[in-house]
Amino acid sequence: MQPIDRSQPPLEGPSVMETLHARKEAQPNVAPLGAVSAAKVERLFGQAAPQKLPPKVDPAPSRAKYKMQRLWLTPMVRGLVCTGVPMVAILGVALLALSNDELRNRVATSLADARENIQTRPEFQIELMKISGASEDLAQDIRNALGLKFPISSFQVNLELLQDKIEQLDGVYRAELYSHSSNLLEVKITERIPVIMLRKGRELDLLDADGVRTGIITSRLDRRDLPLIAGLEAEENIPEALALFDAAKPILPRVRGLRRMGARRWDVMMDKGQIIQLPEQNAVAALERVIALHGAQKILNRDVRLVDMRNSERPILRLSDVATELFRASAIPE
Amino acid sequence: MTSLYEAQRAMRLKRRAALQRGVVAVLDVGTSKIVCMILQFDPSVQMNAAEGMGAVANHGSFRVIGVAKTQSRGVKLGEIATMEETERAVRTAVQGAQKMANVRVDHVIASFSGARPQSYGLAGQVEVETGTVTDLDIGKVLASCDTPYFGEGREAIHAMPVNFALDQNPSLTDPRGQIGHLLSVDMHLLTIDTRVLQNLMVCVKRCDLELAGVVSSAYASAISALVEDEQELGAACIDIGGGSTSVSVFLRKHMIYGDSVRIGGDHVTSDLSLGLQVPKATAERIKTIHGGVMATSMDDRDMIDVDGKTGDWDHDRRQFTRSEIIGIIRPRVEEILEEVHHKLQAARFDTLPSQRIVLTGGGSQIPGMEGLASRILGQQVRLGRPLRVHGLPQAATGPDYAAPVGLSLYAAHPQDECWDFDLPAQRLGAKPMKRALQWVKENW
Repeated sequence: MQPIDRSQPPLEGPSVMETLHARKEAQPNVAPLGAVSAAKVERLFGQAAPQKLPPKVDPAPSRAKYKMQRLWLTPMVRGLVCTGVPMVAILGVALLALSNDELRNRVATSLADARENIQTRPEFQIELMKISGASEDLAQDIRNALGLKFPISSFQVNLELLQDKIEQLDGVYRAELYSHSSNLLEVKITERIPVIMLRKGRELDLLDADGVRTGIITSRLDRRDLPLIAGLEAEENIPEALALFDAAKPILPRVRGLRRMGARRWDVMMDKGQIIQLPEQNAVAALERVIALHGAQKILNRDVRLVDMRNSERPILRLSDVATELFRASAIPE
Repeated sequence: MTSLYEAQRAMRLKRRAALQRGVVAVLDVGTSKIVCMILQFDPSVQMNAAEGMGAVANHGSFRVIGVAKTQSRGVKLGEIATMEETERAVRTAVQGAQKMANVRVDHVIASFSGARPQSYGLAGQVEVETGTVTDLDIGKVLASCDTPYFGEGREAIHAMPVNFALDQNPSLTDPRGQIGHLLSVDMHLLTIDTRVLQNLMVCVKRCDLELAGVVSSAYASAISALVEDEQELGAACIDIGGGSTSVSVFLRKHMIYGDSVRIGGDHVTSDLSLGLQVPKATAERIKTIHGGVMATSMDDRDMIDVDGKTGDWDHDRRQFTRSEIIGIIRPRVEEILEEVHHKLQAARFDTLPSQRIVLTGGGSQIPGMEGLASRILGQQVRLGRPLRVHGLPQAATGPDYAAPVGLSLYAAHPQDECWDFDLPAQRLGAKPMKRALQWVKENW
C-alpha cells in the first residue's frame, strides 16, 4: 500500500484566506455567519454552506400502519368497505326519505309540476286542426266527433285513437293524421264515394263500392244519378248489382231498380210494373239475353208483366191479364 | 427430538395450508439486506403435484407477484442482534411486497445464514417387518438413527434422508414398495443455535405472520445456484453474503454438508473504512464501484476520489489509486476463501466425484473473484446466478438473490425431511398413553 499523499493540491489565484482578508479589509462590518446567504458563504469560502437537511424519516411503516395495510388487503374487508358500506348508506338514505310523508308528497308534486311544465310549453301546443279532402259537412262531422278543444298539448292527443274515431265515421274511407311542429294538427281524409242507393224502409242509404254506408237521404230525388237497389242482403252484392246496371244500359231509362230476392238472386224492376227475374248464376248474361230479345222483338214494349229467366233453358214470359184474354180469344180456332 | 419433531410438523401443516390458499411469502433475513418475495401458486398444478408429478413440472407452478428489498437493520453475522430494528426492517420488506402483489400474506418461509450451522451424518438400520418397505418402515429407520449430542441450546433445522440402502442395493432414493430385508439410511442433520431460531420466530410473529418453514440459507442458495448435474455429481455452493459466507456441498441431489464462515462482504467494507478513514457508507460505495481483487498496472493509474465527509478540506480531497483499494480488499477476500477451503476440507470435498465450486451471493460480484477463488479452492470455479423464476423482476435476478430464489424453489418443491414421515409410536414417548387416559376420563 502506498503512503497517503498529503501534499497540498495546487490552487489557482489567491488562496481562500487571502480573499477573506481582502474582503474583510474592504468591508469591516461583516455580518455574522448565520445572517449571510448561502450564495454569499459559497462566494466567500469557496465551499457551499451546509444545507439544512430534512429530518431523517424511518422508512419502516409503523405497526399500526402495517396492520391497517394488511387489513385493507383482506378481500372480505375490502369488499365490505367498497361495496357493502356504500350500499347500506344509499339504501338507508333512500328509506329515510321514503318514510317521511311530507317529503314523499313534495317529491311527487314537484315531479308532476315538472311534467305539467314541459307539456304546456308552447312548442308542444296544438292550436289548429286542418282537415283536407273532406266536404264541408263531413269536416264538421269530424270536428264534432273528435270534440277537441284548442289549444291542447300534443302529449294529451293520441293520434291513433283519433284516427280510429274518424275512420268510424260514415263517409270516411281513410284518415291520416299529422302533428306538425308548427302547432298544427293536419287530418287528411279520403272520402267514400257513394255509387248506389239502398232502400231501407222510408230512408235511402248511400253506399260505396264496398257496401259501406256513406250517408242517408230521405228522398230518391236527392240523388237521381245513383241506381237503386233493395231487398235482403242487397248491400253485400253491390259489384254484381253495378255490373247488372252496366249491362242494362240500353234500357236504363226504364229500369227503376234492382231487388234482391230471398238473399239469393236479383229482380230487375222496370217501370209499368214489369219484372225481369234473373238467375243466381250468370245474371248479367241472362239480362243481356233479355235485352237482346228486346232489341229484336221489343218484348218489353208489349204487354208483358214478367220475364222469367231463372231457368236459362226455359225463359218464360207472363202476360198481363188483359193480354192473356186477348191471346186466348185469338188463339181459339172458330 | 420429540418437541422439535412436533414443531417442524406444525410448520409443515402451515406450509400445506399456505399452498392450498395459493399465496406464500419467502423472507430472507440477511446481514445487509432483507428480501421478501410473494409467490402465487397455481392450484391446478398443485393438484397434479399431489398425484405425483415431478419436480420439473412443479417449477412452473408458482409465480412471483411481489418483491421488496430493504436495507437490513439490527442483523449481525446473519443473526438478529436488535429485535426491534429487525422487526421494522421485516415490516418494511413485507409491506413493500404486499403492496406490489396487492395480496395479503399470512404464511412466511424464512431463511438466515448465521447461527453457526453444523452438519452431522447419521446412519440407521432396521429389519423390514413385512418384507415390503412401507412408510412405517421408513419412519422406523429414520427414528433408529443415533442422534449425537449437539451441545447445549442447539436444534436440528434440516434432517434429510440422503440415501437408503436395501440389502445389497446401496443407493436408493425411494425404497418404498421394494422388497427386501435390511433397510438402512444415511441422514444429513443440520443443527443451529436454538436462540437464533427463536429470535427469528418472535420477530416474524411480531409482524403478524406465521412461520411456515425455516431453511438454512446455505441450502436455499445452493438449490437455486447449482444446476441439476452439479447437484447430482457433487458441487459446493459458496454464498458470500454480507455478514457471513455459507457453504454447502451437494451430492446426488441432496445436501450432504452445510456450514457457514462468519466473515462476509461487510468485513471488507469495514476494512476499507478503516484503511481509507472514510465512513462505512462511502467505503461500501467505493467497494461496489471500484472494488476488485486482481490488480493490474492499469489500476496504478486509476485515481479514485475519496470523500471522507468530515468537512476537513484536506481530508475530503484525497485520491487513491485503484490498486490501493484492491490491496485492502484482497487480503480479506483471501481470508474468506481460505476459511471456506478449510470447511470444504473438513467436509472431505476432495473425495467427491466432481469438485465443482459455485460462487454466488453479493460478494461474488467483486471483479476478479473467479480467478482468486480458483487459486485457493480449485480449478473448477464458476460464478452462479439463481435459476430463472417466473415473474421475477430483472432487478432481482442477480447472484445476491440466490437465497430468496432458492427459498421460493424450496416452497414449490420441498425436500422430504425426517419429520415428513410418521415416527413409530414408542418414539413419541408417553403422549399416546396420556391421550388415551384423557379420552377415558372425558367419556366415562
